[in-house]
Amino acid sequence: MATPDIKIGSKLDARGFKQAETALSKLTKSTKSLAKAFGIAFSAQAITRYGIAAVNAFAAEERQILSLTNTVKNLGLAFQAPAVNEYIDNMERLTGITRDQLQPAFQQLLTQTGSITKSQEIFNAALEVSSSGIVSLEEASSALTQAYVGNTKGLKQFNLGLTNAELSAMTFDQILSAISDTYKGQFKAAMESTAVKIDRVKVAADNAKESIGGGLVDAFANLAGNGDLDSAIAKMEKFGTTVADVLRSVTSQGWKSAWQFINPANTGGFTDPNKPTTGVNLGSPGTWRWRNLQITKKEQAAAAKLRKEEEARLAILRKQNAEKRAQLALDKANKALSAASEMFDPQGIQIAAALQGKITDEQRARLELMKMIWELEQAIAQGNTAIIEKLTAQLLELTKQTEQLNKNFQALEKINDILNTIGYGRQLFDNDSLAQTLALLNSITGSTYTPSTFASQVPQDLYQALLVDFPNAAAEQVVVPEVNITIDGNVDALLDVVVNGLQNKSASGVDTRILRNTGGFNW
Amino acid sequence: MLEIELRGNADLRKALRRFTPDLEKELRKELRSALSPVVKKARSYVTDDAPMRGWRGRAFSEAKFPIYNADTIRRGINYRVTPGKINSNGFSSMASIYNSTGAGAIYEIAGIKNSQGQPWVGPKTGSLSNKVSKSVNPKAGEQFIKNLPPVVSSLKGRGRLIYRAWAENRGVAEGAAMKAIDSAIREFYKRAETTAFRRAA
Repeated sequence: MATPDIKIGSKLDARGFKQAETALSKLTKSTKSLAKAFGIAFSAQAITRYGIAAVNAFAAEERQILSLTNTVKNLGLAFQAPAVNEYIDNMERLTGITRDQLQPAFQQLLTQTGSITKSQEIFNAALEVSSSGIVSLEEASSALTQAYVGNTKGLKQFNLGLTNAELSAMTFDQILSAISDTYKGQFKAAMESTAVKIDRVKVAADNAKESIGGGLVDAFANLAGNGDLDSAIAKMEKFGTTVADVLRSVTSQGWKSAWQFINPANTGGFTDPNKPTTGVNLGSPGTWRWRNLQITKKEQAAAAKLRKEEEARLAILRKQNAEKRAQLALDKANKALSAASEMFDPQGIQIAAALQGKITDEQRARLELMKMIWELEQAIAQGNTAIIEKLTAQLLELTKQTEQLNKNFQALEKINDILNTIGYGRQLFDNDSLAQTLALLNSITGSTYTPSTFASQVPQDLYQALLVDFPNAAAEQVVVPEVNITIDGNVDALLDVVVNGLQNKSASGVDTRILRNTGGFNW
Repeated sequence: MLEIELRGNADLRKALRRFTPDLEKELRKELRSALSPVVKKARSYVTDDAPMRGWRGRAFSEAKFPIYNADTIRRGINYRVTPGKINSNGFSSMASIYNSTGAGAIYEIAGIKNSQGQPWVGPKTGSLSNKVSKSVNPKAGEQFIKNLPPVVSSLKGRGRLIYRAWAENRGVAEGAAMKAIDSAIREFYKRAETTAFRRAA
């Protein structure tokens, strides 16, 4: 971060600029020459890059062809070299297997058998076996090459159903026949597969690249042959632009025999760079002459169809992925929403608030039940199986208890009702006095119970029960007569009368607590 | 006769140091005397206490925002009498006054670009830009700037410390400094015409 400062005596120091100016002018010069060399349009540059790759591809193929030609020549079959190369080329186009794989295998067979026909026969067998997928072409041809000279060890991997001894005893033709019987039709089936069709298109494109490379080699060899590199570079630039124009015009018309060019000096193969009359005509667009690429309309259509199918498949896949992503987002949102809703669910809040208030046991039980029902509903909405099972069990238990509680309440209600029906409820037993109670009972039932007669009028067990509630009931039954006494005169005489009376009573068997003989009290 | 061409301040000072060290010494002395009053004035504007409570230092604070410390800020306000580096436009200075501490720079120039504070986005956006306010308080920037003294404009810039001191100096220091530089250059060329320069010991 620049700190605040005040600069005094600022001056331009141009040394750095002078250096930069010099560097820039140098850069400009080299940039101009670069622009000259590589052309202006992007397409020309792209073509040039492609050209370089094409030249490399051509060079690699040329090496291979020369190697095969040499092998054939060494076998004394030099005149058949073009045919052999043509065979390899055709196999490449037909099978989609590149020359890199075909040629070494075939070359090996050629070297071993010394006969092109035999080599082709064995090669076809190797192709049948490799098309089944159990071994590669190289392994198959290697095993057959060895088998040709008597070494049948490698044939074991072909799974022909023959033992080593049997294989050793068979002739090579018999072995080929056995292979043919086992793997018949494999090659044809493989050629029908999509993968091979794609490979064939790739091979065709590679062949085109090689052909272009070949043409370029010829052309640039001629261009640089006279030593004028600058003019060669200029012509390369023009070449890039011109080829771009050609491609545009050719592809707009379709890949017909426009790509089939015949070199007036040669009927095929590669041009001799030493012959200035041959080579590529760097003329105006439309006069380019290339080697015949033989890309058929049918293969182009097949490739286009494959591309379309692939694009459709990818589109479906992309759509499915998008739907999956959308669903995932939706599920996530729903989860978050339900979690948030739980916090603000009015029913849940009300239940919780009610539980915190002053409520009776019955109300608490009912609220607990409501709460459990609400929790179960939430768990069902979320699909949480474990919680659902747990809450369901608890809910059933709580429901049973609540039902029992309800029954008890109902019974109590009934008792209350009965008591209320009677009209007095426990009033009968709220009285302190038996007399009041009996009076009440008489008014209800129309009976004529009195405390003194009640004991004999009701069953003894009921009476005893009543005595528990009314402990003074027995005392209430004693009737005390009223006696008025007026004493005139001698009190002693009264006492004598009383004592005599008591003694007489005692003598007659009434307990008077008086000693009969003496008249004293018996304490 | 060989010509001496002094390209830029660095060349001049190098030449002075090499061939006329007395001129170099004199130049430094005069530059110091011109610039030091401005620096002293600027330091005097630094208040001992932080202009707001929240800017004071706290024990065990891991805050990244520079804490207000008057001594540190004063130490960071100083001058330089040697040539500065060449900037991207090719210019260099002969001398300079600077305010080099973080808190000092904040105090100096806060609110110059956005007088109401930086645009507020809040802490939850996850923005990594330092051009927006991510404070919890939407008015944090505005409140911060309100608590600072007003910005003063000078010919060299706007601020509250060195720029304020420079504005109040009314060009006296600049005049003196330029006079010293011109004198040194004139004297140097005068000597170059009359004597053959030999590298000073």
